[in-house]
Amino acid sequence: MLPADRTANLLIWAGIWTALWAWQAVTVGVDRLPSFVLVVRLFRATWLTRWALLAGWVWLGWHIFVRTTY
Amino acid sequence: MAVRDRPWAPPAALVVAIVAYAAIATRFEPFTWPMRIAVGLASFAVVVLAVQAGWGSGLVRTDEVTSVLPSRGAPLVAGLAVWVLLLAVLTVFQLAVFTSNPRHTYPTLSSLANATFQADLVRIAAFSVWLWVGWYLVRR
Repeated sequence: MLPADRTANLLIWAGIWTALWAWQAVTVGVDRLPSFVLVVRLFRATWLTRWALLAGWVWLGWHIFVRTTY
Repeated sequence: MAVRDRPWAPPAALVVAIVAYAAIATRFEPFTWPMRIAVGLASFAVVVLAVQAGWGSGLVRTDEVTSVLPSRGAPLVAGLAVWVLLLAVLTVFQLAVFTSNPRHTYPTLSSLANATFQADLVRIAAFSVWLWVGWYLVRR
């Protein structure tokens, strides 16, 4: 399903991150649209989602700094 | 501009503490006990801050909801749908490359980060950002 080519996969990564940053820029510019910060604040609003968010943060730190070889 | 106007900005003393902790922690190698303890201590501290901030009580924090929802309506729902779609695409692609081999052809976010993490300053910056995000999540 994925292209068997590193450059093509890197281009897909670039496209995904460009879309995320572009949408963030749009939402910051338009007052009624939710920016990423607002999405995080909504996650903080309920018990389950705020603890899930914190668990994700712990996992990310563990994965990047403990379980990944530089 | 007052700190209250910038809720994402930690106090100066905390910035110094975060960078200092990151500088010490990133001296340790991955897969070692010192690094496990460094990440574990920081995680524990943030969980304690979360409990102190009242995360353990109240199913819904109405102050968070009421500060977000008013006067947004349909644009809020549409905007959230776009965020869900984009984050779903990122997650699915990450899982797809993660389950594919060889890693050079199918790079994950971690493998891409590996190259940049060779530099000390990048590791310190990344650790500092991780600590800052933890503080930001649990700040009152």
